[in-house]
Amino acid sequence: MLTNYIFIPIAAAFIAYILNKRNRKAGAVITALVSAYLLLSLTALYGRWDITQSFNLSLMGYKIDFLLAVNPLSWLFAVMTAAISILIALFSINSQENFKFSSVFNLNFLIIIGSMIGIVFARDFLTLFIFWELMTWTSFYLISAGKKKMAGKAAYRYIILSAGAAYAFLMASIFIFQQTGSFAFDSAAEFLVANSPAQSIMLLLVISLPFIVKAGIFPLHIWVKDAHGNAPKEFSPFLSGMMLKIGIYGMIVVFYQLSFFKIIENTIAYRGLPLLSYLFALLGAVTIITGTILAIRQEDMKKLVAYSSISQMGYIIIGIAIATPLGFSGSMLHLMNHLIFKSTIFLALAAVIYRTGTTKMYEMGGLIFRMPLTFAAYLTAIIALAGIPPTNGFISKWVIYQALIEKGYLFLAIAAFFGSIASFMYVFKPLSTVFLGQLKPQHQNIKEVPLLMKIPMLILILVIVLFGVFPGIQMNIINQISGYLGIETVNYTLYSIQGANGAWNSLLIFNIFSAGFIIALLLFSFAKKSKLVGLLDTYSSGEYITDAESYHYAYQYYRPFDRLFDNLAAKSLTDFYETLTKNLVRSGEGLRRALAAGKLQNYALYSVLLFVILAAVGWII
Amino acid sequence: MVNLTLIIAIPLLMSFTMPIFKMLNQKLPKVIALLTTAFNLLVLTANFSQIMDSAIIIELGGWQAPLAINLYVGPLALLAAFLINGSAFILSIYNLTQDYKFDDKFYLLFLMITAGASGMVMTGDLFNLFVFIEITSIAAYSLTAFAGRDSYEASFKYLVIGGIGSVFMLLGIGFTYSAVGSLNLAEIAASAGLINPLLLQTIALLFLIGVGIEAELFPLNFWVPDLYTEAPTAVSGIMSGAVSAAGIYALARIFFTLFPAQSFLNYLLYLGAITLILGELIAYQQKNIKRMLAYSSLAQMGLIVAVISLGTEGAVRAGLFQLVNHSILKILLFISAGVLISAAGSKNIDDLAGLGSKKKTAAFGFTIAAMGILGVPFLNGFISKFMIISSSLNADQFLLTVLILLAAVIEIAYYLKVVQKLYFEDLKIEVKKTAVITIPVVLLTLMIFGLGIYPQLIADPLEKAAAELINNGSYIMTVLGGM
Repeated sequence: MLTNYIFIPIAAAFIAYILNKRNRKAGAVITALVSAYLLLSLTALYGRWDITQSFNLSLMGYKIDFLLAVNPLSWLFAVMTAAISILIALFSINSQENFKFSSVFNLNFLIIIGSMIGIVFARDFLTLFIFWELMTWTSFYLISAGKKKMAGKAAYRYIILSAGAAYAFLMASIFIFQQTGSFAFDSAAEFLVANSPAQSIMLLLVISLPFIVKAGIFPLHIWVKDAHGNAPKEFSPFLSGMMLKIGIYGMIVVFYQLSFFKIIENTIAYRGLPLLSYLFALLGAVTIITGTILAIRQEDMKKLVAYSSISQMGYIIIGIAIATPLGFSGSMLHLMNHLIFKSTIFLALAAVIYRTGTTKMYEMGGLIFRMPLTFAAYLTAIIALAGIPPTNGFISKWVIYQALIEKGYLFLAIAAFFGSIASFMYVFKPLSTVFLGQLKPQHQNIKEVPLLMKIPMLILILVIVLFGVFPGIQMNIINQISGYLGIETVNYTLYSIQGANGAWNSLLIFNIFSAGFIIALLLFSFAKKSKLVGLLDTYSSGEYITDAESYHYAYQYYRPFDRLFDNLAAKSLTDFYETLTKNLVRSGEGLRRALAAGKLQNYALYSVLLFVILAAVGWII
Repeated sequence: MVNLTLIIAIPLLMSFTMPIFKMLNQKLPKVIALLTTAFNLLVLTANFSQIMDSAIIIELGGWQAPLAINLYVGPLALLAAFLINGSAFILSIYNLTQDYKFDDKFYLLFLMITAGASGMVMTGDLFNLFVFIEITSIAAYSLTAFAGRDSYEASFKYLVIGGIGSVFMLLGIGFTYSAVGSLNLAEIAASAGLINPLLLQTIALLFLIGVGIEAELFPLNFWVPDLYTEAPTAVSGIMSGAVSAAGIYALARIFFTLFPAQSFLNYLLYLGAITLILGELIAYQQKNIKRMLAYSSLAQMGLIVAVISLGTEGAVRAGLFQLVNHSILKILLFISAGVLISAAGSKNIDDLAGLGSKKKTAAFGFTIAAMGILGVPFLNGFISKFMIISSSLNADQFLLTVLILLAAVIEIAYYLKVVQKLYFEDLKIEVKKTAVITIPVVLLTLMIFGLGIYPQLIADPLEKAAAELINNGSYIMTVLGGM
């Protein structure tokens, strides 16, 4: 029964591919329908945490059990996947009209949806691996289908990192399989706890490799920027929203269900936290800082959002790694909220790209006059990202700060605050350069996006504010997850959360904000009418400026700030990996030249040499 | 039951009467080749259930073993024979669309190579094995040269190296005969313990080199890249799908049935591992697609030898399954690559850009086969990879496992480069008309998915084959004991 959720999308994928060949919109419609079906049936599954399904296979002399089960954590991820897929599918009905690869896109996208549900419902390593690989491969094809020239290279780097990590994962899980006779998480956890801590820690670190790659945690984050920047624009929200998160899901499984935290309980501690956990939190902090600084430097809006996503993952990892109830709840809140507001940002940007045809921010401007709903969506989303009440982003950030302050982790808290403040810099840049400022002449005639694209954006705006005012809705499921994983729960009511040194009452704050907003509105309407001025009629020191571009401050927006970090940013981690592969290539070339140069005499000599050498070896040994 | 000797006899007969067929009708040679390989497959299928029960022994000429030459067809030989004749069959279907110069001679040699390879795996006599190896090799030398100037060089290289291999093998056979007094495999296996250890070492090394050349082991395999690159596609296919399988069969017979010893298996393990990693590294920076496939083939052979030489039943099963999968996948790869090359008019990978939209079947075939080799779940490669890792870890060979995974990552790199070029880049060259290969591609894809989703289809033969290989006592008993 659980397999329905997995195999219906996969089967639908092939139907969508065939139908899409006739009608470009068909594939997206099928995706939307399937996602809607998934969302509805998953909501019916809520609370039934006892459902399991298993298959036993006697394969080639191996007895293997494939286990599937529902639990609060899995349920949440499955619902998030379905929800974002509906939004993307609705959006892509129109936006993929002229997309050459729309059939391939929908084929792979549906398979990804099915395999993600497979990943979160899996209760054993092999099932997890099979669906993980399926997801990695289909997303490889999806990213390759992007229109930009770099898409292929980006996808290529992505899959080499992902697949390499996944193979290591396979090795470690087969090792555990041989020691325990089963792939199941439960028996693995027992084995790991009873085993020598050093070996268990090694195994778990290897197992967490594919998750670290997927979540974009430093230093394995190099694939994220290019993959986001070059993937088809409808896929970027999913990449950012769900695929990074599935890595976080894996980390939660490793930390809690595979008893990583329990195993390292008695190792060296720093301020009451085992050192390895603190190291993960530290990696999260570095990710926040790196992501934020690099995001500020970007001119391409998709790459900017890519780096921003990485830095938000850093927040989530910090919250999970410090292993406190508040930290975990904050991370889960941020996980959900990030999905919501990041998708909004992506959809708004995709709408802009759809209408203007470019992703370079300095080529746009003044779009608020032509696309006001898109602007409103984007504005709400960046307010949420910056963590300002009464949006949901504030609540998750606040809980994480509370968690860090409660334990007194100074460096982590500074990194978190820095990330928050600086994030406003990089989200403001697209707002200012794309929506505000002067409208370029070539964009005079563009219109707002079609209805099917407006609906997702509207829904998301409402959700952002709703969750901001009533965090209790989210805390409900989060507390169930905490209970399931064995973490203490956090006190909350429908509109307030109990932190470490006080409670947050969002209804009260929302009322105050509304009051302020209404007062401002009244003042505005009773004031004198404003005078409309031409866009290009601005102060220019008496010079005549005819080029519209020069009026618009957009290029290298934060140059003074960037200059501070120029030296640091020049040392690119990507270059390091590139040099590594180049050396590998050169070694192959060298070997070939030395051994396989084409001289027949040498080849003949090898046979005799082999005989002599092996005979000598046999003689000696 | 249908006599198994027909598997060798009929192709030989057909091949020598090929010139007559050509005189009757221009198209007849192709059809005869197809029918003959189909016939072989039918004979094998007819004997399938009996062999699964107990090995079939046919004593040629009515003489008794160990005096006579006998054929021994157990599950292992059956598996290998299916691989060989199956590859030949699929390639014959592919050949229906190809035109070769002097094609009566081509099909003559093609059937000869099939007969030779089948003979190699079915024989129970050492010198007979040598004879069949020679038949196969000579047919291969000649078949390679059907593609123009560069292929003459490849053929010549193979000829010289193969000739050296024959010398080593003959020496080995000579020493064995003088030590044991018989050429029957079972008899040699029974008396192996009585041979002077030093002499045994020498004999084993001589055979290692002699047969290692066929099994494509480092450092004896440098004829492989040239041959696979320059020969006609069908020849590359039959070499990588059938002849290398026969080579590995011969290697396994010698080192598991005749002279089982841990030290020899260790040599095989190290040589196999070196072949694997060397092959992958060199494959990575190839610009010529057939050469890339050739080095990849080499590396897979190294992997199979390394895994089989681990010696445990699980390992042998894993290696054999990998061999089966490899044949299927490599033939699909070579056929698809052949079409892509004739479409682009060039073997350079860069020139293949964008062909995915024009040559859909070939590109699809290439992609599925590449994913199979890389071990994507639900395809056959995944199961065999899983079994390999499992048996390697079981034998506590951590280094080998890491090496295998490293090789897998490098494989991803170079195969996906091609797949991306095919589908996601723009066409650079003018596309020429090419053969239609739908049937072979469909057949092979069905096999790939079938084995991937339901590997139980082949589990029983594999299990029996592995058991047979490990237990040389039963081999000896069956041939000598019951007689």
